[in-house]
Amino acid sequence: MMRTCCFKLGVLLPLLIGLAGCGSSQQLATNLVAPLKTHFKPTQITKQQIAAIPYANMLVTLGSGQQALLVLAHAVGEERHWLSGSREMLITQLGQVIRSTGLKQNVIAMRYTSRFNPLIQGLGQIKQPIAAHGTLSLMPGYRMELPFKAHFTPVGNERINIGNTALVLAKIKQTLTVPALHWTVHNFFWVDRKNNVVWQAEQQLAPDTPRMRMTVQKPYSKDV
Amino acid sequence: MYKMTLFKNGALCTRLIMLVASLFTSFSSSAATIYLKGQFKAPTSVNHDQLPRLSQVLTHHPLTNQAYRLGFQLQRPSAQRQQAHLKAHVLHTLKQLSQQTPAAKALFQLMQSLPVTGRMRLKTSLDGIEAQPNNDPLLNDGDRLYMPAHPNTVTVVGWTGAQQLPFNSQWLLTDYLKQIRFVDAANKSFVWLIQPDGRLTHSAVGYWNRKAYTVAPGAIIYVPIQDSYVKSFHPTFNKDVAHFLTTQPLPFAKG
Repeated sequence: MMRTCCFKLGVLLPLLIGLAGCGSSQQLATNLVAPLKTHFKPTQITKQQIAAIPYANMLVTLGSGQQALLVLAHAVGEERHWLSGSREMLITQLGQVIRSTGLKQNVIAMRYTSRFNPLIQGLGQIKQPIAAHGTLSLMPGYRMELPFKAHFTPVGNERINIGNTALVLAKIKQTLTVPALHWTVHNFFWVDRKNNVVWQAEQQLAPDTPRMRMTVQKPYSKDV
Repeated sequence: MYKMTLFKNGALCTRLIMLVASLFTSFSSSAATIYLKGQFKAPTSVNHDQLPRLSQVLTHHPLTNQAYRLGFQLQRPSAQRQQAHLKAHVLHTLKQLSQQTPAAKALFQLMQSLPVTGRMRLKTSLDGIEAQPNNDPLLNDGDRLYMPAHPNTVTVVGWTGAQQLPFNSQWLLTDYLKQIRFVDAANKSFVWLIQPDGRLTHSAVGYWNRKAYTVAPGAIIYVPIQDSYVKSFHPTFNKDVAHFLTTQPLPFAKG
């Protein structure tokens, strides 16, 4: 099934801008979305502004850089295409980035070939440590089909505040190893076990890409 | 330096919303039939009242899990004429060369069997193309969108004989070349590497000049003939062969 959120945007745009309150003055760090407050640089977009946007969106921080708001541009099957104002795009599937564009190094394919496939079964199903494997393809440079091993471990439940809502989410640790790149990374996902929605993630997509922190502020309505 | 736009103020926030809103607002005024082939979940032909952007068609036609985006082709009938001329020119030269080097005959037969596709080179990857209007081509009536299945081979053609080798993610270009035998007329210093997205690289592979080139599944390696054989009557011959090979769809015809 494929669906897009964009058809009516042209009609809704004036209303949307008004609702979003985007014309308001810059906000102070005290208006930060709470989970980001202690770890990342301040953002000047307010919870109120985010809440007023009628479309699914998330905040993303790359490395120690600034936060960006990404809006869901398309939902194509299980894929979610998130677009930034500077035209980077992250494509997620069940909360995990499977492709990206516009970054210095991009994932152009992440495929699991193991019996356990978190892109199909979801991270919310992980109750015990479990291993998976697959291939990773990176551009530029045509680094294609690099075998990887992934080990998923449930860490426990954590209370996360998203906007004004407190959620108790399962924290899943992923240890990803790509031998051909001599690269191992630990990624973390905070997932709602009820519906497999990943509300927050800290992950590194590739060796030359800084660590990324994503926090869904408003999930796609069909996912929750 | 990595950065995504920070929405510091209202203007930038509005910019994102307008960007998303613009994704579906670029139309032209002529009707078009677009043909979808390969790894679309529903290969079909679709009619549009107005000429659509490539992204508009792709967004509404999901792909199978076997789809190989790097090998995607936009094939335009109006581009076929120029490619047919290129093919004819290459075939003409190969016919002449077949009297000097037997390998030319095999390459002639291979090239003769290859289709003229009208492939257009895209400037960017498919993901996010809708956010880059300058790189999101307006489709023409009769255009074909071809999405191949994921390949697991690399093809070598030219003055080596044609053969398909299994893709190996640990191998560089020179590793593939170790698996083949060059014929006497082959240029052993440079080959042409044709990646599945159509990118063409004149690649240094001699032991004195070699560089590290990675190779994608579905790539074609063209081992050229030494320039001295063709420079007097078709100096661009090798480049022309390579350019024609960039138009070929996956899976590549077996030689």
